[in-house]
Amino acid sequence: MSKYLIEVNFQDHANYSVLRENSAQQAKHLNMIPIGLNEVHKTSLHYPLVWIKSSVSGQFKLVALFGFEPGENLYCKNDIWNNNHIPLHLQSDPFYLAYSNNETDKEKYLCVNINSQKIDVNGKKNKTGLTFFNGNGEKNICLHQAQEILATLAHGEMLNEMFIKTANQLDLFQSLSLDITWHNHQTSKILGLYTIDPSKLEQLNENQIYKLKSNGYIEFIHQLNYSLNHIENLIKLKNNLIVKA
Amino acid sequence: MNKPTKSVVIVGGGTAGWLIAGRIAAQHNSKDSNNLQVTLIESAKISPVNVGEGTWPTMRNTLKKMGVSETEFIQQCCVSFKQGAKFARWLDGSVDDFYYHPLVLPQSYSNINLAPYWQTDSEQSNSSFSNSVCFQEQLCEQGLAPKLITTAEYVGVANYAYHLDSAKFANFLKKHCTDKLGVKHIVDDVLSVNSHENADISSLVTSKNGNISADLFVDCSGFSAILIGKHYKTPFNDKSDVLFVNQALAVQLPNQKNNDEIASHTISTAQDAGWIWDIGLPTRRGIGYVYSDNHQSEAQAIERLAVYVGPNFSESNLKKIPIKAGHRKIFWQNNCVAVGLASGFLEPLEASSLVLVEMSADMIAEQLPACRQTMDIIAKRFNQTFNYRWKRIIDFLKLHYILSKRTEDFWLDNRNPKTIPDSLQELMELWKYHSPYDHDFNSSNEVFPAASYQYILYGMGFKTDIEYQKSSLNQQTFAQQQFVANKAITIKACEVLPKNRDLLNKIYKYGFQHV
Repeated sequence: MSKYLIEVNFQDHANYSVLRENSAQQAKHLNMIPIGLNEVHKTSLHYPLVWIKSSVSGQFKLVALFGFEPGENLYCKNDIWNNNHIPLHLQSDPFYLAYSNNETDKEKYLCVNINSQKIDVNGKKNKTGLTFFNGNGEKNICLHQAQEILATLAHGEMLNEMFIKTANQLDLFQSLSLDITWHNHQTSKILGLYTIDPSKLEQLNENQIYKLKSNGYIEFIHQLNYSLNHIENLIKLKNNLIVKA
Repeated sequence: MNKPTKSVVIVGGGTAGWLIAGRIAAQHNSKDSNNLQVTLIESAKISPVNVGEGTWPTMRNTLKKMGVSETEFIQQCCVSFKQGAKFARWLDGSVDDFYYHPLVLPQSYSNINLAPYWQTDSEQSNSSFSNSVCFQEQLCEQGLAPKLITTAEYVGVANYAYHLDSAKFANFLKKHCTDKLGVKHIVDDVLSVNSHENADISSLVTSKNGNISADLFVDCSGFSAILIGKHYKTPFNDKSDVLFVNQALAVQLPNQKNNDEIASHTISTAQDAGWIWDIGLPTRRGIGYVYSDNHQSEAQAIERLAVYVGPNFSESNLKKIPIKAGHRKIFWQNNCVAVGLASGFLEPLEASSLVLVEMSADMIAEQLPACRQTMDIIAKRFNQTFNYRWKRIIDFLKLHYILSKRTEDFWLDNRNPKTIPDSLQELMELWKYHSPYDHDFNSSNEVFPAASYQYILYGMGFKTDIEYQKSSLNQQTFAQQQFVANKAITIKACEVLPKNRDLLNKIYKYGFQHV
């Protein structure tokens, strides 16, 4: 565990509060954020959802795409988040779940990144915030909410793993390469993105389709593929910046 | 005579036998009992030779065509990546004498022949040919892998082949062929052969399974060559007057530590009467000395190997394999075709053994005679094709020897023009004034591209006199750009690619994706 990630406890964090700021500040340099299958129905309405490979393991990860290159978040302008929906991963910040190393009983710990800009100690930042604990040492609503969001994220990660296993078995992933010509006639080739190949679904037998349907995977796949329409929007957002420049 | 080809029987359960079985069965969908049926007979008594530990990049395609997962292959066959060969001490025998034959073609190879520009470019003169035109030598020198964990299976950032444990590989293929491709496996000894009136083989007499008949027989029985040699007695084309190596001494050094670096290339170090191969696998190093017993005694040869291996050397696990350089003059006789060691053998200098098996498997699987009527036509074509390929390989292997400046008898004899094939002498005459390029090798059955000849020639310090051609070298600017591009690619590749050992560890843990 990083030395900045510390288990939340009353003794150390009685005077800590979390600021009510939008997520744009800390996300303005993120060009993607992990998404769990359990938030696909909401996020697919707002962001392109694509699969990438983890550079560490080569395993697939589902992400919402905010920009075309590292550090580029086209949904963030002047520290304001220009989208109606904020993915759970951003909402959970600065809280994290850590797991004990005990193999048989994986206990979860609620941790906080004490270096986060969203954290205030003793009200020094003079901004509206909510303390972690009330005067009686009981958890305030912000901690309860964080725990709920983190539990949803953890569940999402598990659902992703199961989906990836099935999709790999059925060989459903395909690579997506984007050849984009910007308004200034410069071109970009975006590689390293993956999607679910809808034509592969047509080659599956009845049993395989039934299995995908009963898991709700067919619906997920439709939502994921629908979300790709937002790529066009993302291109527009970037073109707007280019034209103005 | 127009009897359709419905069944193939393969004799021999080494890598050759299973590669042939797998390629034919996958190509003809033998899982379906209405289609061509493939049976492999393996003797329980004979253990395969298992020397071929290096492959060509073609193996990726061969495995892919058989429906093998690269991840499982790497996990189960003790595989490491191979990015070419490093030839040490071939030129003059000094300690820092080495050059590379990488697997990546020279930069922009299809657009320009960089060799003459490399020779005339003063900036490049300090850099080896391989380093000037290709980024792979640096990957090898730094122990880097040819790809990333995010690269899809069978795809490379740099072109690559494999080093593998051939005993494990044969077992892996056996399981894949019998479980997934519908190949029938019989463990039995072939006692004798029954023939038709036209001298075709009608069936094989086995000790436990009676007579086993088929329309086509593939002899993968190794050096014993029980069908093509013992039965048909097709003549052998002895090449020991060209390639002198006739003995191999092999050892394996086990128990490498889990974090030891693994070279991602074959290291071939010249000795006074031959050369030593050194192949790193995740769990062991395979090292062997191939030498000519006409130039060195066995005791001396063992001494050379012991010096190379160092303190871990022990004579007790030394394996001795006699080598008879040459090949059958006829590979396909009647309804029997020989593949692998049964068809011939050459010293493993450029890993030509397995690639010939793959090329044979391709041709047999893809051009399988539809019926007996067409078999002689395909057989004739097969014999022409493979006589050509063996000839090309022999020329290419000999090329490694004739440019040496070493002065031991073995090397002097190798440079004696009487031992150099006319075809190679003619090319050498040509290359005195012309750099090798694709027009020198225009058959569709080529084995090595002209680029390989360039890497060997210029790696060994050969000079082409381009004075007469200078006026035609009008792509200076483009050539210059390619040298610059290669430098940039080299730096970038060395930055992003992981250590060979690290990538293998990740493959054990996570595997590659299909896309």
